[in-house]
Amino acid sequence: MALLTMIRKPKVDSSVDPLTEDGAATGPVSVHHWPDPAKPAALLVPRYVRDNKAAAGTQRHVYAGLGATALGVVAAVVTSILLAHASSADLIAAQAVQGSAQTKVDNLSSIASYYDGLEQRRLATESLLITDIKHAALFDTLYRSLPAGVTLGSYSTAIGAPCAGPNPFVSPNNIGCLAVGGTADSPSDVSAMLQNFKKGAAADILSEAFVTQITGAGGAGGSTSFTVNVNFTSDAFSLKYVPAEDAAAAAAKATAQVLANQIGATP
Amino acid sequence: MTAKQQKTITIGVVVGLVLAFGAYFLVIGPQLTKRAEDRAAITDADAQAVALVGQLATLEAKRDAMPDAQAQVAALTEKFPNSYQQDQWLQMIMTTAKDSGVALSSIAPTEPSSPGADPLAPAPAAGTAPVADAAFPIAQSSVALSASGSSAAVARFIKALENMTRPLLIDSIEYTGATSGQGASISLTGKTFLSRPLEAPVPAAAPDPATGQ
Repeated sequence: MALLTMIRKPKVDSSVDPLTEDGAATGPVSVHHWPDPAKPAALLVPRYVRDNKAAAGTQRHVYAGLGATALGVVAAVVTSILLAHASSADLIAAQAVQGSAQTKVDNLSSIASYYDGLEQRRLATESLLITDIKHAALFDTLYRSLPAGVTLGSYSTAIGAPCAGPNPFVSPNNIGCLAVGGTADSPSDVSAMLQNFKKGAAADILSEAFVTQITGAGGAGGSTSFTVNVNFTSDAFSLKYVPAEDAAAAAAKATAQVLANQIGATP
Repeated sequence: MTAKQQKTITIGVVVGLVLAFGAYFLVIGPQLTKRAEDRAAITDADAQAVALVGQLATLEAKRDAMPDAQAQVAALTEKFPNSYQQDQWLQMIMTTAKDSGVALSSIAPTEPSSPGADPLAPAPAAGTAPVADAAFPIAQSSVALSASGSSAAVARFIKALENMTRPLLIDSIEYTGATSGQGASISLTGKTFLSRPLEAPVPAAAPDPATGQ
């Protein structure tokens, strides 16, 4: 009760001069007018005692605050340590799972290498043999295109080097040239041969034939010799070493390759 | 409030702050940092574990399909043997010629060259190292052949060469037709190929029943 009385804010009578009161009791306490005529006994306690009591109270509050703070700090420390330990345990578990999976993968690494090697060889052979030409089909087509009276004397292939054709204004998709030589009964047979090159299966694989020389008029007892350059198209690629579904792309790639003089790709 | 009280409160506040900051900087902060690092490491480990599990599933599927892969390798090795095996190769050429009805005039194979860099691989990007030469698994040997026979036999010979067990990539053909008293002849150049041996996979150790690894 005494403490509450001390804490309660007293009214201050400013009209009273504190210096007129008891000289030993200076300060605002001595000039207070308390609502209750019965003044608290605390007023009779000397000031230093009251100050000490107040200081002790403040000290208790400070100690209490510090204690609460310390408690909070300890709680925070413990919580952080527990969380860190929990994370460490989780990390160890996760690393164990990862390590286990890695071990299993490592155990199968030779299988991975084997498959990689197989794939590497498959791709390498495909890329090397992509330019394979159907020479037998070319020869057969050429032979079947010879009309009666024409004899094939020679032919040679030049893969990746198309010959100049009869039309200088277009760039047909030729991949090589056959230089054909032979004899005929007459120049008209040579003309018939050129027409045959444009018919049926020959038209797909042969293109842009051009006669570079005809000698001899033929006829009775005579003969005509000729040389013809005839190009062959990308239909001449066998593509038997590439998957069927990749044929179109492979033909384009092979065309680019032979035209870049990478015939058979010499490492 | 007296000066003593103010001093007490000030000291209390300072001590409290020192306690709080000290605890944070000495213990709580490092622990929280460690926890954050651990969480990041856990995330990484989980991601890697997921990737490894996917990789493992693929590898296990490959392991189960090993007989098929080995059959593919055997077929590949039949076409592209690991060494020239020249006796077998010559026998193959001569049999092909005989079956076609042509007489071989000459056979001129060159020693197989060691594989170089992949000739068809795109050029490495600027600043990157080229693929090592040894990476290309195929070696080749240039071959020159000449033979003679009837025109039909020569045509059969060309077709037969295209269908040999070991591929012959024909680069050029020179054909000379039959003349009176002489048959047709053919000269051709091409390449045959060898492949680098492929090491058989090492069987994986049986898993430890205790650990499952």
